[in-house]
Amino acid sequence: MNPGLILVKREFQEDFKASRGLAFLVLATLVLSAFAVLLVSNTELSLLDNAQAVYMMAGIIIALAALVAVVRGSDGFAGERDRQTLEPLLLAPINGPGLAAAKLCGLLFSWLILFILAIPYLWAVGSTGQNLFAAILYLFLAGTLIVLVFGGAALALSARLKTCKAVLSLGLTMLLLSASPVLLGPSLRQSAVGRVLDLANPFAAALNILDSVIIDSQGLAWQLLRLAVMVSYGLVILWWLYRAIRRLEP
Amino acid sequence: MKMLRLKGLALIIVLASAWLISGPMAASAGIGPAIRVSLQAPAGALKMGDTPNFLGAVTNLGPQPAQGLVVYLSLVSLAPGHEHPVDLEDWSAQKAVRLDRLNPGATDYRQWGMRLIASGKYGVALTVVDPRESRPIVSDLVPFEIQPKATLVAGRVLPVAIGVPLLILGLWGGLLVYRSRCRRHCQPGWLSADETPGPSCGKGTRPF
Amino acid sequence: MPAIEIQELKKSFEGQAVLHGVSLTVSHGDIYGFLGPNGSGKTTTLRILLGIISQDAGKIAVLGLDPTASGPQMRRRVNALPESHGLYGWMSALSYLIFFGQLYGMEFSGGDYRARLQQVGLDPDDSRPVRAFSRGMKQRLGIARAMINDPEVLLLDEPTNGLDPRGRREIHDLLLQLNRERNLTIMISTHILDDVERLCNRIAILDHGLVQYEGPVHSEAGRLLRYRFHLGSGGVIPSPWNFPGISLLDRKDSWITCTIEGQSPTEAINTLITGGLPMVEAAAVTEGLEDLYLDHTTGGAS
Repeated sequence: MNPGLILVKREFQEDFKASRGLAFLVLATLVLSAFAVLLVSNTELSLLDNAQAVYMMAGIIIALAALVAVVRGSDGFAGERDRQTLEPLLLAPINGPGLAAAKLCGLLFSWLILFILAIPYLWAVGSTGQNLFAAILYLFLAGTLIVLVFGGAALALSARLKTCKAVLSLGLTMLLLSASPVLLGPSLRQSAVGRVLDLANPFAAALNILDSVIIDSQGLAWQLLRLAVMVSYGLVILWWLYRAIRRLEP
Repeated sequence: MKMLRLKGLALIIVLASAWLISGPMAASAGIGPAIRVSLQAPAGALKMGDTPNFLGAVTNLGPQPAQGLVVYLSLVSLAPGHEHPVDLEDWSAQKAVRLDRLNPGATDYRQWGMRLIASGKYGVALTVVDPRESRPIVSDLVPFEIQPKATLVAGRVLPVAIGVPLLILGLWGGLLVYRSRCRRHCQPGWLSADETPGPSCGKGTRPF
Repeated sequence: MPAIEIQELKKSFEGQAVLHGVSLTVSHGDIYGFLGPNGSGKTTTLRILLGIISQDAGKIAVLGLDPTASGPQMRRRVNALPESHGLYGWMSALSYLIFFGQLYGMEFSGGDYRARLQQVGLDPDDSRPVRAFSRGMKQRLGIARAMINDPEVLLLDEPTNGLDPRGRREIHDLLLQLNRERNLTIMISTHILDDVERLCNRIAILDHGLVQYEGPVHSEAGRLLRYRFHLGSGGVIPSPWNFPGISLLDRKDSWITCTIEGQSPTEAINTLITGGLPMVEAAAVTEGLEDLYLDHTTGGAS
């Protein structure tokens, strides 16, 4: 069996046999459940149009995906270094890029599990089915790209910095910086600077894709520019990861 | 002679009446254009979530072109005992337009789209502000009723919100129980928590 | 071609030079002791040999391969046990070994893995997670992992740290057996001179980033070696003592202390046994190696 596949299998096993992955899934589903119950119980929110509710739920899922990517990615190499399990891995006949690819696949697998668990929530809040299938499809696409961008960046940091704590601090800061423009009011985001920030931000691009597809019912052609932004980020991050992993040391 | 005086008096009365009736309008016609505004509700029943269009018409009845007209939509809730103005923020993306120029006799027709986000009794009106007029011109109030619709069905949300975390917790618990049983009852050759890729220890083993 | 060849190896970390020009050679089949105080650069040297960090200058060949240029290829034939075990605490011993076996592409059966665990004294049916193991058990599992690819060269960093005397003896016996049966080249970085005495035929002493001594453990002609011999029951010391090159220094209970000159300990033991002394055990008095070590080192980094 390919060493990379062995490592991916081990990542999966560590998630579930070591319980860390299951713990995160429980937390994530509790967050989604809390939000879904909030939507039902709060009169004002419960009057939201289905599309709006699906969009809000999808936004929460994207945020959770980015968070899990940063947390898991930070642990990728720095965590192994902290636990002193990196050296035996480096002794194995697998090169740095192979190790990084395996770690990245582990992250994507975690995202896949989260996505599958999120589908019932989208179905539950999207009762009329308006754009529900498109929502699920574009959520998968945008979420995968978000995990690649933020997870890849966290892995690259993890390869270069010595401790998991340092990587996690930097990774979460990076995530907050990406998410913060989204919290600006509509009028600020409509300014020239706001639009540039919106366009150049992969997190905002993901949310704008979901907005465009779910609420405005716009098709693929409208999403191409945003997808291009996210794919560009992904390619840059992967290149950075490749450079970082070549100098991986225990 | 008497007949001539009576006819003259009647003519004076008629002319004076006519002047009294048309005087202010004639006076204003002399100052600026006359605008007529109307708004028409969409046909059929309306329910929450619908995005109907209200057809608005602004007509320039005067002899002069009207310039810089501001036309805007107003919405009020007509729920008995709870009448209040409604902020159109969530209802409509297009709340006001400016007409650069409306020629005499021309009519500007425009669809005013709205997303009906709450049920109840409402009235909507179109208002035109002419910069040269002291009073805005308002259309008739168009009443309409929005039927309620359950947008988020609690029957779907609650089972998912409770069921999915319970499912994960159940899986976790099951895994813990399975592993602790394996530790107690593990036999050579059983897969248990480990993955032994081949037959159990026997002949032909390969130590280092 | 030697198994390991290092020429003028230099390495710095954050501007601080750790290795100033290390040169040494390890031949095939050697059990090579790598001694030095803390911070002398032993672990750094081992990591460079394994290709997991790169050197600043110098030439290295392990089995004729450059660890930096041919890392994965070299690591199929070489393995190591780092000072920290690097075990996954959540795995069982068997699943840990299987994981690394598969990672190395070894086509072992379940029975093979179990036998390998048994050979290092571990129970393959023990499904406890490794974090529940004692230090000695972890060390054994680490050795099993280091041998998973049947390497030709094995690098060990403090392999008997934390083990009790019986555990250390068992590890020694295992390493000696591997060296004997498979001509396995072993390089051991350690502080424990007893280990070196018992296992190694050649040593290098590293201090301040340079090899201060390289050579056999018991090499210097004319150097007096001191040994203690445990005589069996009924062992009577002959009088007069007539064993050339072996001087009797002391007797206590059934132990005698002798110095050996001009011959190896093995030859001396044979001489005594042939001369009628019932030998049960022999132990070096490490004063010789200890003196050698202390002569060639100063106080190391803490």
